Amino acid sequence: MIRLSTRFAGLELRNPVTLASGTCGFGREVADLLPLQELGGLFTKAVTPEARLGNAMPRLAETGHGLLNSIGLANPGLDAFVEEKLPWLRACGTRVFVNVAGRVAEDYEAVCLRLEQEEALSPPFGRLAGLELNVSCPNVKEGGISFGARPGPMAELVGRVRRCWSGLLFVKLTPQVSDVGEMARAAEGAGADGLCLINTIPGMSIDLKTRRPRTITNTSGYSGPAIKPVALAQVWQAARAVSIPVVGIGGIQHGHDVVEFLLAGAHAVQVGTASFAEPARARFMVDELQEWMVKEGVESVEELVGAVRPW
Amino acid sequence: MSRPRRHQRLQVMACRELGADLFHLILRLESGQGEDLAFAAGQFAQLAVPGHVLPRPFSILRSTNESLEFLVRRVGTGSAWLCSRKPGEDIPVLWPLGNSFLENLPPEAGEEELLLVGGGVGIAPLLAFQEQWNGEKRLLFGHRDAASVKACLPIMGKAQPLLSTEDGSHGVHGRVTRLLEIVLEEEADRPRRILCCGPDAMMAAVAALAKARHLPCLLSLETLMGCGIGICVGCAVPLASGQKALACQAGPVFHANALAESAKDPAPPHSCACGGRP
Repeated sequence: MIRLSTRFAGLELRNPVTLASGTCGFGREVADLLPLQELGGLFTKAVTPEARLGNAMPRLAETGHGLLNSIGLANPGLDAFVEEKLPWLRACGTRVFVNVAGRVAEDYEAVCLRLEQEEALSPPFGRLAGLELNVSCPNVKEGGISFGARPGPMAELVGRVRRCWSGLLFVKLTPQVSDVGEMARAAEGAGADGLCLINTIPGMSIDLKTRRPRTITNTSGYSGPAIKPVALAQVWQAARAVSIPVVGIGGIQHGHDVVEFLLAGAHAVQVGTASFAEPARARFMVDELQEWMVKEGVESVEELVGAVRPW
Repeated sequence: MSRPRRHQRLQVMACRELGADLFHLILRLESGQGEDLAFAAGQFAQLAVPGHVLPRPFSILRSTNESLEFLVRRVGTGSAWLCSRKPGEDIPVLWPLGNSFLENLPPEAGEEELLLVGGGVGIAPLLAFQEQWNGEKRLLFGHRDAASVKACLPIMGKAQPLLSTEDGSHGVHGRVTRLLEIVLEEEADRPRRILCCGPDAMMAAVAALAKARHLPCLLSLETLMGCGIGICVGCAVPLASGQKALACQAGPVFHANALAESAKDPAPPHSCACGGRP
C-alpha cells in the first residue's frame, strides 16, 4: 500500500504536489481542468491590501528553457479577495495557502490581521491551511525582495506578522542571497512554521531587432526547467540549516522532479510554470510519483524526505 | 455560449503548406460528440509544443463533426514545429478558450451590415464568423502580395472576400484600410459595424477609421499570451477605464472604444500573430 500523504508542521497533505502562487490564480480559474481535491494543496496569487493592476506589457518572455515574467503582483486587493475569492477557496476541497505581499510591513500586517479575523468566523472545515509570506518578488520596486534579501529585515517582518496571524506561517524565500541557510534560520528564529523556496531568479532577454529587453521591467523573474538545479541546491541547503519543514519550488515538471526535491529535503513541492503548458500537469505528477514509488518499492513519501545520500 | 474547456491530445489529419509561410492544420476530433464540439467564432485554442514552456494560441478557423482547423503562420521555433507535423502525430490542445465575436454583438447587429476586416492569419476568426453569421456581412481582406492571396485560397470555403493587396495584384491597390474607406463611401448612411482581426498596426488604423465615422468596432487582439486561461496573467491589456483586462479571459474580442489607446498601438516586440513566438 503506497502512502502518498505527507505530514509537516502539524498539517497533513494528501500528497506532496501543490500549485505555486501566481500560477493557479485563486483556484477557480483551473478548477474545470484539474481536480483540485486530488492535489496536496494550492498557494493563491499574492494578495496585497489594495488592488494592483501590475506592470505594463510585455510581461512575459519565453526563453530556451524557461520563462521570464514581470507581472508585478497584479491582484484584486484584500477586500475583493475576502469577498469574492475566499468563500470559493474554503469549499474547493484542497489545502489552501494564501500568498501575502506588500510594500511595507504594515501592508503585510493588514492582510494577515484581516485573514485572522476572517478565520475566526469560518467553520473549522473551511479553514485556510496557512499563509505564505512573499518576501521575494523581484518585480516590484519596493517591498518584497527588500525584506527577503537580508536576515535582519526578514526576521523583523516575520516577527511582526507572527503577532497578527495565529495559523501556519510559511515564508517564501528568494535565491538572491549569498547564504540561503542564514535566511532560513532568520525566518525560523522569527517564528516561521515552514519555508517555501525558491522564488524566481532575476533574468533578462533582449530582442536583437529592437534592442529592447523583452519584458517591460528590463530584468524580470526567471522560472521553468532551467532553474531546477538552482532550486534543488537551495532547498537542500535550507533544509539542512533549519528544523522547520521546507516546500520545494523551481522547474518541477515530472514525477521524478518531485522525487528529487523530496530527497533534497522538501516535504512537499509547488508546481508553477509547468501548469501554463498543461493545466493538469500537477495532477499527472501525482500519478507519476506513485508509479515511480511502486517501481522502486518505496512505500511512503515520507521515507523519501531528506533521504539523499550526499558525498 | 461557452462550451466546456478541454485539454486533449488531438491527432493530426493533415498539415498542408499553403505558401507564404502559411499552413492549414487539421486535427481529428472523435466523432459522435455532436454539438459539444462546436466553438464560437473568435475563440481560440492553445497548442502545446514540446520543449517550450508556453503553448501557442491560434484562432479556431473551422470545426466539423470530426475536425478542428487552424491557419498557422510559421514565424518561430514553436510554429515551425507545428507546421512540420505529419498525419497521425499528436498535439496537445486546450480549447475552446476566450470570448467570441457573437457574444459581443447587440441584437441590432442583425439589422446592420457587418464588415469583417482581416489581414494575415487574422482572417481565420473572420472566416469562422462568416460561416456562423446569417445576417448581412462582407469580408474585406488585406494581403501583402499575390503569393499571400493564392496561399489563402484553399481555406476560403464559400467566402468571397473583397481584397486589397500592397503590390496591386488583386483588388484595391494598397492597404485594407483603403478598401474599407471605399466600401464605407458606398451608401454612407447604412448602419454598419466593423469586426477586425489582424496585425496590430492594421487594427489600430481600422479602429481609428471606425472612431472617425462613429461606427461600432470589435477587435480580436493578437496580444502576446502565456497560458490562455488567466493563470499566468501575462496578457493584461490596458482599458480606456484605466483598468486592465486579460486578453485570454475577457478577450480576445474587445470593443475598440473600451481599449486604452496604448492597447491599439503597434505592438511591443514579440507580440504574437495568433501564435508565432520566436
